[in-house]
Amino acid sequence: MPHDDHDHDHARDLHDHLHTHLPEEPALRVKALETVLLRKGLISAQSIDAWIEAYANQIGPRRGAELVARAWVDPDFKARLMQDADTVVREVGYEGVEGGHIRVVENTPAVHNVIVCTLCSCYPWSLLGIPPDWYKSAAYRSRVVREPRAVLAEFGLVLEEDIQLRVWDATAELRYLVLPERPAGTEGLSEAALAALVTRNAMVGTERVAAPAMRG
Amino acid sequence: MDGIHDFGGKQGFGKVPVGRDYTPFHDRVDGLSLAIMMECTFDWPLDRARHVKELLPPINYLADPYFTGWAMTYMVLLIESGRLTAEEIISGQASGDPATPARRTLPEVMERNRISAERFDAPANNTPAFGIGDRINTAEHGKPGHTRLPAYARAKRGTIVAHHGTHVFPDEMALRRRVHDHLYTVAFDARDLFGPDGTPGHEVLLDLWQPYLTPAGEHP
Repeated sequence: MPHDDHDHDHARDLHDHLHTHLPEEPALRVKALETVLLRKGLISAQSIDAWIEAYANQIGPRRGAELVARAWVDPDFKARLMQDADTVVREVGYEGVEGGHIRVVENTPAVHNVIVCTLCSCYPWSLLGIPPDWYKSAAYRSRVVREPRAVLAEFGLVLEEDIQLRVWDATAELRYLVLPERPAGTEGLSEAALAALVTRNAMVGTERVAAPAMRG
Repeated sequence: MDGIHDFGGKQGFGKVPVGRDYTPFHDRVDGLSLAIMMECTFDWPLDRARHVKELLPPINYLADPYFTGWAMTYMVLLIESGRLTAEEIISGQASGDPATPARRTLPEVMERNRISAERFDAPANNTPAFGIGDRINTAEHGKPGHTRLPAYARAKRGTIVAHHGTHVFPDEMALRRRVHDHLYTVAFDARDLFGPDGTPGHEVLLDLWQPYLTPAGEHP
């Protein structure tokens, strides 16, 4: 059992023991756990497949984009989203794992927000799905608090000199979602067409939403 | 704990892998790890899980795929909770009679995910020490075990910009004690955090619990 004294945590020894005796190849270590969980009856192959399908194809950034687009066209909805996102999220059924406390922060011409979790990879899964590799990377987690303009430039986003830059480090259970600016030239678009413009990265703050490409 | 996980402000990690195509799972094993997390979370508190992940061998924390880190963390959590032994995982041989697992469909896991939204707040039973606009100092030193004050924000001066009532205090949750304390959003001027690397108009905001904070005193 774990020692709860502060000097030594037995989990550290267990990690060493497991890493020493299991194969070096990461995939084989995970499969070793799968094998014993199946044999113990602690998980079923059917449930594994269902969870993979849920997070591969069902729970993703279309949810967040839907909220953003509605906020763009409906000022009352936007006011509620900014003040009490949890209630709004429950009404549409988008609460879930890593989505118990949602806070929305708004980008404006004067303020740009960007989200990170420097200590792990906290992210609003229930609205955006599984975070992308870059969000979980050591490079993003280490650098965006310290040199956000350089990091955003790597995403192709060069911010104006005078813009206020707010970097939110999600150190607690509040999960932040950026409400991006609505691009110019989208006045005639439907809510669904607007939602289709909203990217995952824009809701983390590493991109702006681009106007639809001009035709012809 | 001053562990490998505490990346904020560190240098030398290179460019962000921006251009890599998005995929939730690189292969079936990533998805399998996620499924294990969703099906096999038992009676441990969330911050115990976070801390066990922080205790991964540093070389594995840095080098292994993200979801493999979670699978290794779940091995330790399942051993700690008495549901598996290290010998069973290593040998692949299960002892005892197998349980009958749920066989969930997609609609069932979607609903299970929805109802798994966890709330961490509770009604306050004491008055907050700080109000919006107050200047605070953060704790000067790190501490053993799990904590959510990153090293880059220690011994720094900031301003309270929001109060969220009381939330479960992670340092204690990781030790299986559920106590609540006041949670604030604290804004820091990047120049106070990173000296010459900070630029005017750049703020970093962290959600910090009251025990990490002391009044900044009279000097603004």
